[in-house]
Amino acid sequence: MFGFVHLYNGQEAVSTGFIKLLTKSDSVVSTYRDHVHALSKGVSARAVMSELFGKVTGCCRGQGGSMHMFSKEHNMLGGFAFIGEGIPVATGAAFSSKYRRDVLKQDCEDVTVAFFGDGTCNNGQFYECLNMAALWKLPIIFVVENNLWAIGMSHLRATSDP
Amino acid sequence: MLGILRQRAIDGGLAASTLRRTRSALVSARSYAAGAKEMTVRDALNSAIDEEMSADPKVFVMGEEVGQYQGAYKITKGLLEKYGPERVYDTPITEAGFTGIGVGAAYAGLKPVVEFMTFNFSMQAIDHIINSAAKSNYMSAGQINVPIVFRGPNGAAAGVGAQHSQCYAAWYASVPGLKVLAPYSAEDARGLLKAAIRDPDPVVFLENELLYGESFPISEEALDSSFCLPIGKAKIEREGKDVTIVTFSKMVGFALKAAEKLAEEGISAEVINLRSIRPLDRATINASVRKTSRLVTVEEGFPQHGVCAEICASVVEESFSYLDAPVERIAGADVPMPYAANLERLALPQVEDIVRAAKRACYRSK
Repeated sequence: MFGFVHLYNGQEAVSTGFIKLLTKSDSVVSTYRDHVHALSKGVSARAVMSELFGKVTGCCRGQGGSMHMFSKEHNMLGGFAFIGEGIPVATGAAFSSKYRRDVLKQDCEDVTVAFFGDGTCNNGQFYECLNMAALWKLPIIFVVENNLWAIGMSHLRATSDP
Repeated sequence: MLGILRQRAIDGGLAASTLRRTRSALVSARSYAAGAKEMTVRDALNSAIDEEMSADPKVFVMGEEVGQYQGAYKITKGLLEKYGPERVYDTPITEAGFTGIGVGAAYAGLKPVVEFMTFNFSMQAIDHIINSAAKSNYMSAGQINVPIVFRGPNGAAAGVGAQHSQCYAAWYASVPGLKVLAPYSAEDARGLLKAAIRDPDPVVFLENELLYGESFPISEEALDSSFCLPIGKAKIEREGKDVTIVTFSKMVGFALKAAEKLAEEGISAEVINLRSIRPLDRATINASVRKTSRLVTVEEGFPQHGVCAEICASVVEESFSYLDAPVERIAGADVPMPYAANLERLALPQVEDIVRAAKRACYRSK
């Protein structure tokens, strides 16, 4: 395997627990540590593994790689490399659920779950989206997976009020 | 002696103003009789958004001041009243957040039109434009489409200083996965914005604040709600045979003025309005240079790695043996935009710069 790989080993309970309760049409947005979120959402293990090896049989034909797992069928809306990047995208997916229900009058009860880490809680986009999600009452769940580390930076050293 | 001069001045003044009144009466009589319509770029953009929102309920508008304020530059005037707050969103001043929200909504099948008050503010959100929007169709191997439009004024205005005057055409146009459009006339504004909103891919739509109030003649065809211009096709605004001048946005007007001045000196300039920066219409540009043998490219943005650099490279690569003179590039000065009015004027291409470059291109031949 080549390039970046960020393992989810040991955290599986978080992804499994949340996503087990979702329907296929609910959306999940993750970070670069997205392999298990994809698996929990229903993307086959073979498709995820093939993607990690850059094979054409991967869920993104080898074009995305470890950090960019997408599956339209399963509403796995990525895999984003920059921390905090997926949060606005997830908020947008939640926005669209509300829009479908209220404006397009469709029968839509889809929620969106955004997964991210403790380091992201210091990131500006997170706060922008907390505000807008509350302002517009969007159907989104923000899940902080706190492993106390943001790449090499300890949560305790990076956060003014840990 | 002075009395005679004063008398002549008064006579001249009276005659001139009478002439002006007569002329303007004639002009309006002509317009009325001919039925030729004129439209400002502002109204063209407004009508385009209005029509696309009316035609497709998935289209919505989002940005700062787009609703209650009627738009920072009034481009979205009347839309909140017509479509309601669920389709016209006034956002907090949080570009990264609301741009990403727009992208996420596009992932989920809606068609957002995201306004940046100026494209300078898009830098706060550029990660989402590039990484979440432009690259997603590729990264997902075609599963995710992002039918979003990012629009707003781009480039220099008047006296707004260094942080409000940059042109982003070159930056965005270098990114695979984006389409980048730059209208000049009201017809361009209508046709290209409608095309952008209908397009399934992310489109960066670069307007110009100083063009918003300018009026252009507009055809009946362009006023039709189904009117659309093709993306990736340049327009030959003025045909000529001695030198090709390629540019976009406000500089098209300057190039046309330069062409008139050049015509007085016997130089026939062909003026190409790019309309689309990405995809760039290399075919039209090269066909023109193969006809005229000389190229002048103009842009307001910084010179290094600019749009003009790409056009010159294309012509040198594809039409080298047709060139009779070195390619000419006129760009904004390589300096953050100054505030003082005289310095600002010096920092931007003027009509005389384009004329000078065209003449240089013409006198360089054997």
